Amino acid sequence: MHGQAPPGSAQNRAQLLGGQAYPGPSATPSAETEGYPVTSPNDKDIGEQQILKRVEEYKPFTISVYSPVYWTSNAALVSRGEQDDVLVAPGVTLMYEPRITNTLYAQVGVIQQFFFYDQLTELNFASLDVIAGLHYYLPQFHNLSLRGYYDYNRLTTTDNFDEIFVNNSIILNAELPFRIARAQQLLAGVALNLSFEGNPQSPRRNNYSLYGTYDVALSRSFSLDAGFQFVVRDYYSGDRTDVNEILSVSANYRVRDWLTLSALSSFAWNQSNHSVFDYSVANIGGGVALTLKF
Amino acid sequence: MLVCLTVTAGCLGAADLKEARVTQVVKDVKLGLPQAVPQPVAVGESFRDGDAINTGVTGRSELTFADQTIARLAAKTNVSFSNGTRSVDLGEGAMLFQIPKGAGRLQIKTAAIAVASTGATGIIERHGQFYVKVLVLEGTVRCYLTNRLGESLLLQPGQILITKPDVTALPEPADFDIAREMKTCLLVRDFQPLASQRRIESEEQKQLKLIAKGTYIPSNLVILGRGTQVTLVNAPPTTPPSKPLTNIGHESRTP
Repeated sequence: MHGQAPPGSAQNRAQLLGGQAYPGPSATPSAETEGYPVTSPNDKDIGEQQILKRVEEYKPFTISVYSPVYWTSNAALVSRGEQDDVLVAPGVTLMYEPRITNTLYAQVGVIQQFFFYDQLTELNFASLDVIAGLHYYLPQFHNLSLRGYYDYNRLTTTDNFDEIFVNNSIILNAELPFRIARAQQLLAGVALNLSFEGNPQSPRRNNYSLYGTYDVALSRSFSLDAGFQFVVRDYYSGDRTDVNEILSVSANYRVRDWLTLSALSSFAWNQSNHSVFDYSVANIGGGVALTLKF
Repeated sequence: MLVCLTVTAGCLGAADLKEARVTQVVKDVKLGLPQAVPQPVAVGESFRDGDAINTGVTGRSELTFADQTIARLAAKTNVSFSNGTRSVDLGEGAMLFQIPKGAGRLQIKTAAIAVASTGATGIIERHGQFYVKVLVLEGTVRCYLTNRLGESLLLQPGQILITKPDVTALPEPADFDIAREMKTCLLVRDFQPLASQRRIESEEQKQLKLIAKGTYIPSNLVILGRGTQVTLVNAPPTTPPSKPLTNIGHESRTP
């Protein structure tokens, strides 16, 4: 079964690497300051500080272009006859996130990513996502973030863009950040990806995910991220249920505000009630991302 | 009577990097050597690791390090030095620091808070257990907690951070008018012009442009002198913010 991917493997590959290549823009509510009104001997040594109120300039548009390159240990995500390969996954994300209120944002975006294999070119595919939804923050609940959006996903070949799979789903997501310190953060999240229409049927599935991430900024330009995701994939056909675990670690160096270089790695294990769909894969590589907000 | 004597920093060329000198003295300033009674200090005297300098109620002083880093001490201030005088411990009071670009890293510690930079001009003040205030006039200053890994932020020109000395998480900084600060700060006005004067003026111009652009709105909130007491002054010509910054109350409280 060399070079032949099982149903849903392109979806798996897109979800495994697509998210890591570009984490996606997120609107963040501005934090207000806090302080302590106290007086001291009122001499003039250090002068008068007239407070200036900064008017936040919110930039709702984000364009991001990125190109990760990976060595992958299991190009076709198969249980037997694994073949390694090099994979390039360039992509572009266009996102518009207008602010409706201080804590409510709309989100409309298009994400196009290509997956090109060096040797197993028959596995090449492209993934198009069109999303639209809402993003709501609850500062009073530990900065809980709630998102709900519609996702139209279309997987195609890369030569003439013939359709491989099309899916319509509703994605519901809740994230809770825990700030350890200003430069360190833990985040716990839960996501439901509910497919309500797709073609063909065999790759159609609902995903139920729990995940956590840890971010630490070691300097103003260099940060490390680690994440773990546990996903149950409940397929619509064939009585198939998979349990997927993904561990990812990345190091990011921000050369400029708009340019980031990354070292990326991810490891995934898939266990299915149909053993033919079991697999494990390691991906190690690097990438460059250009991001503009306006 | 004020007695102000200034020595040009040029005479420091041959000085040991681990040594700095007093380059200006106003009234009551004392140098406390380790295990010795503090003695009045004179211009030109040097100090080293372990030494402490105290200014009296009307005293002020300027210290110049071998790499031309300058520290100006306000009244009722005491500082001590370590790590080859590259680490300054501010026990009480206020100081203006000016670290030339390319000079070595200077760290100023007070309570659990430290600020460090390799090129910046700013002011740091500590008032007992009540508050620590850090202002940046030009350059970038890293402000962090010495007892909490990762609790660190960068202060940019025109930013002010006010917090308690025993804080466990740094608050967000606010913004202040650099030009007004420069016009009213005696640690600037009563001393020689700073070597970083032009860079500070450049930051003032940037703020003016941002005000003109509407990015900044001058508020009617002013901290007069030391402390965190905020005075509500006449509203500026431009529209004031709908509500005051949450970190600075209208009412004052005397510790």
